[in-house]
Amino acid sequence: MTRKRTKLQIIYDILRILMLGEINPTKLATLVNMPYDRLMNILKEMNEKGLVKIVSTGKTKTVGITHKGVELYEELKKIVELLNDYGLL
Amino acid sequence: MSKAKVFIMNIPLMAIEVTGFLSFLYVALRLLSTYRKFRVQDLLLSSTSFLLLSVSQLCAALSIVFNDVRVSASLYVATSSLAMAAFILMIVQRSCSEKLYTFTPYIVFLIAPDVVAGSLSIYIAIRASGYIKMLLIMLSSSYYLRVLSVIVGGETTPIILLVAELIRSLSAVALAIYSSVKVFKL
Repeated sequence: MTRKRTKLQIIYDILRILMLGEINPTKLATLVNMPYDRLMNILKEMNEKGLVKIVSTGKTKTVGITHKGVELYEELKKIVELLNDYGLL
Repeated sequence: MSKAKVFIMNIPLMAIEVTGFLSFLYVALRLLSTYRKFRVQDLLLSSTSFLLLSVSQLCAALSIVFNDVRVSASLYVATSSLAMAAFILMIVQRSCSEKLYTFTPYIVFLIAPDVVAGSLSIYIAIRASGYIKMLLIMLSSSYYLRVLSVIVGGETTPIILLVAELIRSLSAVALAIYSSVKVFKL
């Protein structure tokens, strides 16, 4: 049985994809394999914490990672690896 | 053998236990610091697990320091109790999406038999990988050896206990150092 992804894994996946560059939220939802509405709620939370920036230009939206987000990504990368080693994720 | 001589002989073992304590504590604090930045519950649970493992190591170190047999024995038993609490928390985190039951370890660790600590660490080891798996199996075997020492009895008990403690301290410290190196930040 496959276990449901934890919030930690979802945040890590989002940050990992954003490390590659700015992206449209719809495409990001596909890449992180989650519903658009749920992704937007998480992105809103991450935006409030200064980890990502959501830029709206007319009808289009793009999401990018901030300096604080990059720092958290680097930290989470090690932590996720360790927790995976323990089989906790 | 004089008390001073016994104390000197115990210094290497104490150094190992203290290193394990500090390394696990470092991992716990790193996880806690990340948790504070982005309130993800999994990080808090993991941090608590590592904190319990670090206190387990501290108890092992203190059990060497105290001369009083009762205090020393209590601290020695507490090492497996706290390790057991840590492993239960890891199992809860791994298999239960409902975090309501996370209080369980704090109740269960009071009853604390070595065999439970051994079984739980084996259970954690099953899904672990690489060095962590190997070290958890070693750690688990040390708890079983403690049980064996009680069953066997007689003159062999101290020898088995000594071997068990050597395996336990070495595997715990290796686990602690490996974990802290993984999350080390300059």
